[in-house]
Amino acid sequence: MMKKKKMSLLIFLSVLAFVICGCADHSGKKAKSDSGAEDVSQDKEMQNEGQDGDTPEYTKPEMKGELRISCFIEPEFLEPAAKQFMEQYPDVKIVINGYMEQSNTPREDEYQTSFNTGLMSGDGADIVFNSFLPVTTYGEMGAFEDLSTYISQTPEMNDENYYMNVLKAAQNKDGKIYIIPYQAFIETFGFSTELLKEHEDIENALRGKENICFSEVMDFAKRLVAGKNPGENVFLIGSRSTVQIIQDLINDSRNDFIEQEKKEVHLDTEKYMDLLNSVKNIVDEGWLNMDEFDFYNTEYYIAASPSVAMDAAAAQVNPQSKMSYFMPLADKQGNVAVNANNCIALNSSSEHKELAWEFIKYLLSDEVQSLPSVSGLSVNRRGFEKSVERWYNSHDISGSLEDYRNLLQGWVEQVNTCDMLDGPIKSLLELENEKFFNGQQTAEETAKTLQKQIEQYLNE
Amino acid sequence: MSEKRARISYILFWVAAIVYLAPLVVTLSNSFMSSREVEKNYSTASEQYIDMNIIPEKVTLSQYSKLLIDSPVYLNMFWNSVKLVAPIVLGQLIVSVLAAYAFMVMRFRGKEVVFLLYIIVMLLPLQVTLMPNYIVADWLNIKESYLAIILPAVFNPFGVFLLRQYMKSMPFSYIEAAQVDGAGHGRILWSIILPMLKPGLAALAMLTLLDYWNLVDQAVIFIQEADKQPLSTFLAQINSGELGLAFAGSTFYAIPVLLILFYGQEFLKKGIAITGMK
Amino acid sequence: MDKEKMQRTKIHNWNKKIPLYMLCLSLVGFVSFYVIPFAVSFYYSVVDNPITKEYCGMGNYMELFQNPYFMKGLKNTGFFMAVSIPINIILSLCAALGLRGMKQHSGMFNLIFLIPLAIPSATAAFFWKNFFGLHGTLNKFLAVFHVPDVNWLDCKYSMLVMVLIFIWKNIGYDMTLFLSGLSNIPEQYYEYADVEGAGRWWKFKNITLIYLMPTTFVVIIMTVVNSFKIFKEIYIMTGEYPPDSLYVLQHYMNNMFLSLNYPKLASATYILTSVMVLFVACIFMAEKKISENLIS
Repeated sequence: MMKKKKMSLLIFLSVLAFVICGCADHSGKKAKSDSGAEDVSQDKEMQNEGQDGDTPEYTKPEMKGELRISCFIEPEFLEPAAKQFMEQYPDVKIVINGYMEQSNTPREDEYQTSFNTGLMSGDGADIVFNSFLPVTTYGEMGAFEDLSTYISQTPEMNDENYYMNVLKAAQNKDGKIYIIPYQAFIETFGFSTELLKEHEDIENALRGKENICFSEVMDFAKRLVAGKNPGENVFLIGSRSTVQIIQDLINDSRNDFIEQEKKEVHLDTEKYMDLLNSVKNIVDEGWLNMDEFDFYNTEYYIAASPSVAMDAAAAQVNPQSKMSYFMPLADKQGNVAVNANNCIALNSSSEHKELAWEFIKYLLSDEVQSLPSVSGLSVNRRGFEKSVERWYNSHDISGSLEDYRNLLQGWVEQVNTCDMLDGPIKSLLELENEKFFNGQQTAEETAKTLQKQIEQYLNE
Repeated sequence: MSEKRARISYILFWVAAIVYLAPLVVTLSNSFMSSREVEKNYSTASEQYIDMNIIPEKVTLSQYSKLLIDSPVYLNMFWNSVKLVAPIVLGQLIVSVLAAYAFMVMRFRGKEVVFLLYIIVMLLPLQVTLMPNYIVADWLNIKESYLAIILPAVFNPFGVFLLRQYMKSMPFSYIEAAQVDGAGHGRILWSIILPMLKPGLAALAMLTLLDYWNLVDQAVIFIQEADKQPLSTFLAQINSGELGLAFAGSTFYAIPVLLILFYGQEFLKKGIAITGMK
Repeated sequence: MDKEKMQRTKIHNWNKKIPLYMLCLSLVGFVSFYVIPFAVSFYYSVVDNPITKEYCGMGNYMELFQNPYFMKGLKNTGFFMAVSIPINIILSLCAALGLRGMKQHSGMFNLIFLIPLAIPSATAAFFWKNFFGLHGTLNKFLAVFHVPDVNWLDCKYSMLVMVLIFIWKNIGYDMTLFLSGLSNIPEQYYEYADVEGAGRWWKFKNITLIYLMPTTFVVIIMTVVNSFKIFKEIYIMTGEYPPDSLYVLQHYMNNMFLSLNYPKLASATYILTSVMVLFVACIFMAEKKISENLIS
C-alpha cells in the first residue's frame, strides 16, 4: 500500500514539474520572440552596412553527396542541367522527383500531403520548385531557408549578371528571402488599336505610363467601349474569366482585403460586395460574353486583353497589331509583381545546404540559363538575351530585335515584388466567387463565407 | 420466434436492404450509361434536380471497355490492390492467432496492462499516426515499398484484441485436459482451438479485407510510382473528371470483395457444440 | 509418483517458452509500428515547431483550449460520437439477433449489410452528396409535398445526416462482430434454460448478453475507432472548410497538417485520446470482472 502511494506521489510530482517547466519555457519564448523582431530590424541595418563594407567570403563546400529535388511539374531544363552538374562533380548525385510525371493521378492536395510528410519528418527534398505551395506559411514555419545571406555571400550575384530586382523580389519586410524566381513571369495588358483611334485622350494617357493597375484597365476599357453595343462584336476584357477578374481587382489593393502577415481579412465589407456586383453587371450587360462568338468570320474588337510578356512585346513592336500599348500589370501603388509559381526554395532541414546552394547557383548561371530548353524571361541577363533572341528568331516579329529586347528589359526592370499570397487562399476565393457568378449565392453570402473561411485559414 | 415477429423483422430487413442496396444499384446502373448521359444527369450548374437514374437511357458497355480494354492501367492497379491486401489479411490472421493464444495461456504480471496498451494505441486516428509511421519506415528503410503499408497492417492490434475476446468464452477445460494428456502447444492450437475459432477468424478476415481494400491515405504517402499504385487511390477521385469511368471502376472494384464476403460469411454461423469432451 | 512429477514439470517448463515466442512475434511488430509512433507523436505534441523542435511543454495544449476552431471541432466530434456510437451498437445487435433467427436468406442479408464497406468511400460519398445536396434526390422527393429545398449538408441537422451515413456504413461491421460472438454461445445453454422453463427475456438477459460481453467490448472499441473515419466522407462531400455544424476535430487536424503545424495536430489528438483512454480503461475493468466468471 505504501509503495503504491509513493509511486503515485512521484508520478504526480513529475507531471507537475513537467507542466511548470513547459509553461515557463513557453512564456519565456514568447518574450524572446518579441524582442527578436526588434533584433531583426537592427540586423537588417547592420547587414546593409556590412554589404558595403566587407562581405564574408563564401567557402565552397565539398562537392559530395546526394541532392533531392521535388517539383510538381518538372521544368524542362532541370534534367539536362542536373546531368551537366553531375558530370562536372562526379561525387554528387541529383535525384529529381517530378510529381506529375511519376504519378498516375496527379493531384495537388496529394502532392502537398506527401511533401509535408517528408518535410516534417526531416526527410524532405533538399530543393523545391514551387508550384502552388503556401509559401508565406511555409516561410513562417521555418520550412524554407532564408536565402538572403546566401545571395549576399555570392559575389557573382550582382546587377551586372542578374536582374537583382527579380532575384530578390520575394524579400519580405524582415529582409528574408524564402524563394527565388528563376523566371520573371509578368502579366501585361494591352488595348485595342482601333478603339484607341477614337479616343485620343486615352491614348495620350497610356503613352505616359510605364505600368498600369487593373482598375485603370477596366476604367479605360469602359471608356473605350462607351456608346457601343455590348456583345455584338465589342467586348470589354478578353481571355479573363470573371473569377480571374475579381482576383485581379483584389490584387490591385491587396491589403484592403487580405493582410496575410497580420492575419486579418476584410472581405465582409461593402467594398468587396461592390466589387462583385460591378463585375456581375458587366457580365449581365453582355460585355464578356464570348462563348458563342464566331471569331474567325466576324470583325471584332476587344477593348483590353492580357498577354504573356513575350507575345505582348511582339505585338507592341508591330505597328499593325490589333492590340497596342502593352504594359506590365501593377497594383495601385505601381508595384509590379512576379508570380511565385516559378520559384526555387531551399529546405531548411536539408543536410547539404551549401551543396544545394551550389546547384541552385548553377541552375541560375549563364551556362544553364542559355540552354535551348529555357524559354521565358530568365533572371540571368545573358540567359535573358539568348532566350529573347530565340523567341524573336522563331516567331515572325516585325520590328528590330533591339527594340523588342529593350522593351522586354524595361518591363523586367520594373519588377519589385512577388505575389506571395498562399495558394490555398486563392483557391478559396476562386471557389466561392465561382458560385456567385453561377447564381448559386448572393454577393453578401459570398463575402460572408469568404471572410469566415479565410479568417479560419489564417487563424486556425 | 413467433410467426408474427419473424414476419415483421423480415419486412424490416427488406426495407433496410433497399436503403443499403441503393448506392450500389445506382453505381452499377450508372456504369452502363454513356459519358454524355452521366454528364447530363449530374451537372451542377443548372437549377434542376440531379437525376440519379436507375435505368439508363441506353445501355452501353463503353465505360467498361474504356476501363478494361483501352488501357491496361486499371487492371494493373487492380492487381496492385490484390498484392497489397492479400498479405495483409494472411499476416494479420497468423500473427493474431498466435498472440491471442499466448495471451490466453500465459500468466505473467502485467498481462492485462499489456493488453490494455494494445487497445489504447488503436485509438489514435490516422492523421496522427501517418507521419510517425513514415519516420519509422524511414528508419527501417522500407519507405518505398509495399512493406511500409503491409507491416503496420499485419501487426494491427485489432486481430489480437478480437480473437482474445473471442477465446474468453471458450471452455478452458478443453485445453487443460489436452495438456494433461501430454499435447504440446502446437497440437492444442491446431486441433482444438482453431476449429472453434472459425467464426472469429472469418470475422477478422472479412473485416480486415474491407478495411484495407479501400485504403487511400497510406498509399498516397508511401507509394510514389505510378505503376505501383492500388486502384483505391484512383477511385478516390470520382468527384473530379470522368464520372462514368469512376462508376465502372467502383463496380469492378467492389464485386470481387462481395464475392469473397459471400463465401466467407458461411463461417460466421458455425457454432461450437459442447459434446464429446473426450 | 516421480514419473508423474517429471511429466508435470516437463509440461510446466514447456508451457512458458512457446507461447512467449508466439507473443513476441506480435509484440515486436506492435512496438515498432504502434507504440513507437504513439511516443513519437507525443514528443511532437510538446514541441513548438516540427522543424526547429523547440521544447514547450504544455504550451500547445493550453493554446488549444483557447482556440475557437479547436473547441468547435471538439464539440462536434463529441456530439457525433455520443449519438452515433450507442445507436450503431444497439441497431447492429438487433440486426445480428434478427439475422440469427431467420431461416432463409440470412446469408444474403448479411452480405447486403456489408456492401457499404465494400464500396469505395468516394463513391458512397458521391452518392450521398447527390442525395442530400441542394439539388439532390431527397429534395426532389420532398418537393412533391411542397417542402422547400434545403441543403441538408449545410443546415442545423447536418450532423444528424452524418450520423445516418455513419450508421448506414457501420452496422455491417458491428453486426459481423456480433454474429461471430453469438455463434460462440453454445446452443446447450439455451436448451437447459428451456428445460427450466425460462422466458425469452430471461434467456436474453442472462445468457446472450453475458456471454456476448467480450465481443461487445470489441464492438464498442471498434465503433469508437471507426467513428473517427467519418471524417473521410465529410471531407469528400464538403472540402476543407465545411459548414460549422460539420466541422469535426479531424478537419482541424487535417488543416494543421497542411500548414505544417504537426505539433498542434498531435496535441489536439492527445486531448481527445486521453478522454477516450479513461473511458476505455473503465469499460476494460468492468469487462474483466464480468468475463472472469465466464471462463469455465
